[in-house]
Amino acid sequence: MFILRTLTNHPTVNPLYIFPSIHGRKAEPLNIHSLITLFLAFQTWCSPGLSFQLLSIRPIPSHPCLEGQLGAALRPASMTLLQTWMPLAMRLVSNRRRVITICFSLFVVFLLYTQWLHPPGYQLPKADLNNIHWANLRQHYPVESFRRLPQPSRDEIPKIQHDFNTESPQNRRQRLRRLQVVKDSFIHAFHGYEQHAWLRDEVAPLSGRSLNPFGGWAATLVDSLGMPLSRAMPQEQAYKNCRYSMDNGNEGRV
Amino acid sequence: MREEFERAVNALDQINFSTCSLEELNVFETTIRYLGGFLSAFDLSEGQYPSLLTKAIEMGDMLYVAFDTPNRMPITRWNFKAAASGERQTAPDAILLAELGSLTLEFTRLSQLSGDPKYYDAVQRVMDVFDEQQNATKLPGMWPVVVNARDLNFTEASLFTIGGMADSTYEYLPKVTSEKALLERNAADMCLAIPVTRRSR
Repeated sequence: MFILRTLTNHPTVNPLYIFPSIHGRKAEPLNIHSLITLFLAFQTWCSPGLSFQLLSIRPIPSHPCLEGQLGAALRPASMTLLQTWMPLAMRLVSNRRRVITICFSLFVVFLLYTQWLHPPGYQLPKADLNNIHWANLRQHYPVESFRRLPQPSRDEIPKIQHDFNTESPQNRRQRLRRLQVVKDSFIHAFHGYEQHAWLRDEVAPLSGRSLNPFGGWAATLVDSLGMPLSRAMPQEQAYKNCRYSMDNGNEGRV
Repeated sequence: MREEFERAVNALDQINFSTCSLEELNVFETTIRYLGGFLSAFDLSEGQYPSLLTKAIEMGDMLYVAFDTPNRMPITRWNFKAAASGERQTAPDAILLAELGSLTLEFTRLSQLSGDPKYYDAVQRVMDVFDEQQNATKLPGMWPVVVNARDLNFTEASLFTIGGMADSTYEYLPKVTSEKALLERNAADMCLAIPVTRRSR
């Protein structure tokens, strides 16, 4: 159960991540279905009762994609097969064999996990895109003419935010205290990223390891670039600079 | 906080888009994190760091190739190496609504700042399809959570949500509206002042 949970929580076997394999052009070498099926097959062989439990709690996490139109495609046929085998397998089981095969199945799953899926910290082979000039790449289906950007309207967008009453000194103190906590949290997180995962996509906050689920181009760094900027300048200035901010009715509040 | 920003901006030169840790890029994630990150920092810093826009254009040019399909719908989970090697691509018949409908803010802004209309053109063609299909779906006014971008048919699916996998499509609609309305006034002037955008036509 624990292993199953670990596996399904692992980013590389999360349903969203395997999603491409059902509509993309090529299947991944090992996806969650084959992995769980393998695991359950071993379990069934040794301990049908346990597997039955696993099956009944729906080993694949619930996901709207699993239910709609795509449900049929996603629902692994092997699961159904397994359920058919189960009664047969039950008859074949002995206690000793159960213990041996549990150990063996755990070992196999561990092996699959470390070898086939990339454990955290494992450096993926890098795709070489050195000589590609994306802007000059010949298009197969080029557009005949570009849509033109709409002319900006001269009307101001009406403010929809609530007008708060004048802030009492007490409320102001509380707000500034909270603001400071937010700032401190950002600094703490930024330094953690700087120290443990600089230029990688993500820091794993508990283990202190780093992950690259977004291509390895420092996703956290780029994604949060605006944060220290907006916190370093007065709120009004941040809104002024950020010309498309829709929150310009909210000066001074965080 | 300013120091943290300076450190972050100075590190951008070390980011190298010519290597990638993935075989398949999620176009939506790449757009909102990288493109959105570069563009918002560029705007917040009033264009003081041209490298932010250079990086955004670099990223935008790469992502633009994901739209090179017969009907100009993007491949949302994109095998960019196949595309780079000249393979023909077709948009998938089942993709998540949010991944198709939440590219407009970044691509529109990129066109505004770079002066190159192609990015806006790419997402506007997607939104045209959204417009056509909006009242023909099983729940008129909304789009199903899984849509068929290959055949441009959003009317068959029957699962709808405003939650995960769909939400940002709805979120982007008012935002991109105000972006289009408010932005260009200042953007045009600001854009001309930045050396990097002079490269654009």
